[in-house]
Amino acid sequence: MALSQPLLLSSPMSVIRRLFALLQEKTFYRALLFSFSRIALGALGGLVLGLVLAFLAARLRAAEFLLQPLMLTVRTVPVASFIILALMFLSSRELSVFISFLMVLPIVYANLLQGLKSVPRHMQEMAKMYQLSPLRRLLLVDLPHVKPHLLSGAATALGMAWKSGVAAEVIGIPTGSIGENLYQSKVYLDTSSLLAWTVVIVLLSVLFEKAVLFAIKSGYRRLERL
Amino acid sequence: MITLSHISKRFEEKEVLRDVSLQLPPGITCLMGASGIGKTTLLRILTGLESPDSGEIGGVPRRIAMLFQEDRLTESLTVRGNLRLALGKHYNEQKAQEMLSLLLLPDVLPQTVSSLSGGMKRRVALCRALLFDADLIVLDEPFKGLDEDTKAAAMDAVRNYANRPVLVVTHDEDEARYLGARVMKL
Repeated sequence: MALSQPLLLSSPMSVIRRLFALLQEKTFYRALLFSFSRIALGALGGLVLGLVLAFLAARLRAAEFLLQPLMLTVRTVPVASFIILALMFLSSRELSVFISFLMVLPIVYANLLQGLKSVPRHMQEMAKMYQLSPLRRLLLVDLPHVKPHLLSGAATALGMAWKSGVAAEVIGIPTGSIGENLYQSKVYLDTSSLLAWTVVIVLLSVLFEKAVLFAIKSGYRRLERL
Repeated sequence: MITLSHISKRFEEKEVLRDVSLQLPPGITCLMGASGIGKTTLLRILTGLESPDSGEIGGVPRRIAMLFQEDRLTESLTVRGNLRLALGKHYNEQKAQEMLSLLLLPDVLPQTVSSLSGGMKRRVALCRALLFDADLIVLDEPFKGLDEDTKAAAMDAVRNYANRPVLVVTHDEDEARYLGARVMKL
């Protein structure tokens, strides 16, 4: 049957062999560095801006009102539309930065805003009575309360960053990227390479997510030991 | 002198306060009355957390320390973190340590609030209110859930602040006597 043909679906052994072969190539590491640096930059940018905008929207209703349609648009418009649109304005080399940024921003923003809106009224009153400055309120009331929202939002968003970032590279085909390698696998029907690269992307995505979550949790540990 | 004159307050159909007046000179005043009679509402009006439907409020200072009925501490932070962040530049480690020792909590500064018992949390919240260095101290049932020894220690700590207006809500006349307080019944 067609399924037993290695052309269509490679065996696990051939994928592993291809993976080890990739590990011997310098271009493999260049592709990792190229894609990782761009997707990580975009994801971290989206994370930081999502945090800042959520805190702003929680304080100022006007900011929430202005941001709502923007965030809704980014969340609902298909990522492929954004990729093609962005290609008209950006070079393919910067595309994955922008797309991963765009995917992370609304998820972090929405999760965090929901958390900030659910800060109990009695803690808000305590903050008012003790005349907490914005920074002290952030550390004593807001950040401890939104911890689960921030962690779950970041975990979801960072996974999305890799999916969308690599998709952007497959469409934009920047030279020397992981996306370009995936595209070449498709052109040459090289499913061993396709699956080997997929394993690499999954590993990178998981490692990146773990590293960012570890950094966030370390920040919380410092606050909790204050 | 802090004065509340002819204060009335309704929550929808329920009238909670009707034509209540109160004067708070320096010293401890105990506000007493049956449960649900509006003591906490009066405290919330005094501290600006609620607005009265009618009546006047005068002489209330800007800096008020309040111990709420609930402890309102951040459970995931340490006692030190809670005090430091609530008190800001007024936080002094030595004073905090002295106050906690007075409240029979000599070793809790590095402990996480969630690891403390209910009575310990109550005293940490009281410590925060007393260290806030306010011109008016408002304590809503500060000794709730404390045993005799810790209650006596907490009352001694409150008595040290009798040089300024201190309003204490309590149900216990013995507490009012021990504090040497004026008593106002609602």
